[in-house]
Amino acid sequence: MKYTIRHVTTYKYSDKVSLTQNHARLIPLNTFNQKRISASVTIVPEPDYQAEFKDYFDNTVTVFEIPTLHEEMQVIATSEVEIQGAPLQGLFAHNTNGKA
Amino acid sequence: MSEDFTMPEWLSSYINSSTAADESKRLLNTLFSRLSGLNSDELSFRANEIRRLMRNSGFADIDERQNWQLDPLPMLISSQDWEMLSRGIEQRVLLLNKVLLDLNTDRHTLTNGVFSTDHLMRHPYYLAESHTLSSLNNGVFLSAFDIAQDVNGEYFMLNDHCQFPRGLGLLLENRIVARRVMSEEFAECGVQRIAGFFEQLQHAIDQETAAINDPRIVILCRGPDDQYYSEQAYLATYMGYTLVRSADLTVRKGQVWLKALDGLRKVDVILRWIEDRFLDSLEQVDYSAFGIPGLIHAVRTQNVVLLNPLGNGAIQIPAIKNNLHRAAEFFDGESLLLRQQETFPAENLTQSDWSGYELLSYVDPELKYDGEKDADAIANTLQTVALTDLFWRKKVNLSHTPFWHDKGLVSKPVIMRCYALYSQGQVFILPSAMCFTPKAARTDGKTEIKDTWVETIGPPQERAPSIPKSLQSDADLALVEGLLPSRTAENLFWLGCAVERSENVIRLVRVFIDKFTELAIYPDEAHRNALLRFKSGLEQQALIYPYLTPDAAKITVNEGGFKELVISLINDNSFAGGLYSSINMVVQSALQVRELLSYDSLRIIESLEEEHHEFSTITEQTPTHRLQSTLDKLIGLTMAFNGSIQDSLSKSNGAFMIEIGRRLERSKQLVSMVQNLLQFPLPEAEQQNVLEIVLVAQVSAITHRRRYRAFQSLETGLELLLLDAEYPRSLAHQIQKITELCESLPVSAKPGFLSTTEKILLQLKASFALADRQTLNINTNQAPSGLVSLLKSVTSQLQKFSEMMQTQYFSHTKPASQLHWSGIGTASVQIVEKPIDEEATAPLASAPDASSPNDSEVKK
Repeated sequence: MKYTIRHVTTYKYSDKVSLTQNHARLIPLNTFNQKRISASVTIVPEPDYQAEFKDYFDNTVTVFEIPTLHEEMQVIATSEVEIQGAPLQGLFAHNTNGKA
Repeated sequence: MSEDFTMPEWLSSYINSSTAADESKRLLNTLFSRLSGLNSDELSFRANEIRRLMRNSGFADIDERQNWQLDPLPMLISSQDWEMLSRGIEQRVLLLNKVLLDLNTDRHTLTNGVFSTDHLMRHPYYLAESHTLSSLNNGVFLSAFDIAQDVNGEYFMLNDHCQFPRGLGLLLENRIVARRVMSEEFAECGVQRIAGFFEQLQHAIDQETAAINDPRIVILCRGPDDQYYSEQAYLATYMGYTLVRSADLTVRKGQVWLKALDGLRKVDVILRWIEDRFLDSLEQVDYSAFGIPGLIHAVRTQNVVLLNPLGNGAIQIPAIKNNLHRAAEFFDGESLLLRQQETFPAENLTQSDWSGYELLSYVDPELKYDGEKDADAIANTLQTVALTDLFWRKKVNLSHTPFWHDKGLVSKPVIMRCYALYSQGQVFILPSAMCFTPKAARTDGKTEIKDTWVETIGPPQERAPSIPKSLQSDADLALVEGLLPSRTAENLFWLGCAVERSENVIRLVRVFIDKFTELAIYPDEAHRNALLRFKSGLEQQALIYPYLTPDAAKITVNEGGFKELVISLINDNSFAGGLYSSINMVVQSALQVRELLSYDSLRIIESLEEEHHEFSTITEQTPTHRLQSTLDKLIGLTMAFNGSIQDSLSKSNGAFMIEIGRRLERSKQLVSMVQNLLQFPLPEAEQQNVLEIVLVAQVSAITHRRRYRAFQSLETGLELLLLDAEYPRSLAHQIQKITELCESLPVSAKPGFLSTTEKILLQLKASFALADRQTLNINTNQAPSGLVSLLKSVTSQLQKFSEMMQTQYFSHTKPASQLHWSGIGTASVQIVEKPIDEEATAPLASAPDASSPNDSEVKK
């Protein structure tokens, strides 16, 4: 089964923010029953630096910085995954809830 | 050694005491045969001399003076012992390096069961993030090892310090002091030199940056609150690196930048003095104010070299430390040359044996109980904590060594901290150690420390002179000397203000004392009124910082309270511009930038601090002549400080910042004096008196008299004080100097346009250019008079200038705050704040933080 996932997070700050530095884990993992077909992270306002690295658990971490004054930030993650077979049951089921 | 030397009493009484018998005889004998020529007075003299030198080096803080005490007797280590220790340390450094590399790559040690994975990964100091770095960023660099000898003469390895070499700066400082005090003995004993180690260190750091032309190297520390700050400052000065705190660094676009006065400058190497779990408040779990958000990512992308590397703290974790003998077996089939204390599983010890052991935890770094003293706590812990998480460690019965106390020797246990450097596959060991008394043996919480002298093996070796890395022709020489972080620049600016403020208030108080004591001799009205005017100016803080506008209704007519006012101007800290606060500000700002100040400048600060402590002894009973002599001494010190700064601090190290601070403060003070005492018409005799007060306080009375002889008047006084640009105390001269100094400030204006600074200064100069003696005539019918408008415009321009300095050059990052987003990531945001100007009361325009980057600001 193929799924398209859109995950939007909106931040509203009470004061203007001059610089924000972030780590986001929003890209789905490739596992034995989950295949990532595509994934992207879009940020508004546009960051002036965006990079990725793999963390200890093999998650793709999106690193980004916005150095312009802003009061609101939106992070939109869009991904397409294919799930093969039945969802995990039992022992590890509680671990997969909502975790990217 | 010859056995027949006559032992002085201080020595024989020690040797006869029982503990001395246990000690390594040969070493003691060597030391004592060298020292037997000294009598106890001579030793006491040396102990005092050490105390004086340590304080004067300026690196011993008020608190540290109480924490460290250098013993005049060095620890001696024979060449054989040293060779054995060196081999043990070298083996250990190589082993630790293998362990660290393995833990961050293939983890054979874990898959083969050398270390317990469970105990390792549950420990809070275990950092998963260090696995995401390439192996280039791993391994041992500069490490320290605590080694102790037990009463049977065997050496034990107690602790490894792989994060940063605590005490290295202190050792260097001690050596310099100890060699000075014990120079003859030092030469006779054939002590190995340590300077070579520091050259190796510098060379090893250069190797890391071989590809970079003119790399920028910084020492990252926590700041003056850290008890090791002074040694970090000392090392920074000795090695010539910039000393920075977290707030001075920022990560942008994956690179580390130093917030320098002229914008952002790339940093290539960071020598960290902060634990690895506190380095990055964005990526790491432990939020720390010392963290630099994004630092680990910069290390990961290899844009900066972090030394010691991240993850070296793992060596401290008991799962690793207790099993290093197994790792030595696993990697090299060797056993450890320097044994560690034995450890046992928690269940293997019966209560009757507890006293010789300590109970510790594999996963809780805080848990530590002494089997002898904490029996109840141990019984409780054994009940409540899983036994597999606990272990026993055998205590080492430390050997003792003599320490000099007052007029005799005291025997105390001692631990040696040795230092090693690993670079390019080679281990270099510092041929000395920092000896210190363990916590349990401290008197009044003081750690007693000793320099360690290692006997030279064979004839002294000639060291090949090291050749400094040659500068390529295109290197920017101005940058080689060092960068000025904007925080440092700000501290220098305030230091300048504070020195000038102190000088001014001292002069004012001196004149005030003269004037009120004169009143008895010249009790006429002109004198009295002038004095009262002066008094209320001081009382209402119009003549001193913060230069308030006086409330005319509150002008005192009361004649008493002169001396009370003097006393409170000296020692009442509620006067922001009083002597107490001003001198305190001098001392505090100087300590913030002590790595830039010369030995002599720091000595003067030290003396100022001593005088400052004496203020509390000043009361109304103190005779006026004593007050005068204190004031004279203080003014001498501030003048000496100014001189030593001019003499030794270079422009690129920020001398111009101190000077701008001083000139600005002087201008403000001069303007406020004229505004409060001279800008309105007074009866002639009174005016003469007031003018004299101002001229004396401005050190201009003699010049005025000599220059204008028969024609002295208010106008000539004002002309001298305000308009004569050639006269070094005049306002016009201050403005001219500030203009010149500002040329050293980095400019961001487009070519062909004036910068804000230039605009303000131009306006200031313009107000003077058109003024002449006529403008200064206050007895005109014009309202407001030319003088009033001139001073008003100058005050507002000076205020603008202060604000501009604050917003343009001194705004640093406000500490970023960490936000957690619902478990999918972390963010670090910086909220824009209005710049806080100490002196501005009017709200300032909300300018964006200067630390927010724009591309024009980012320079290589």
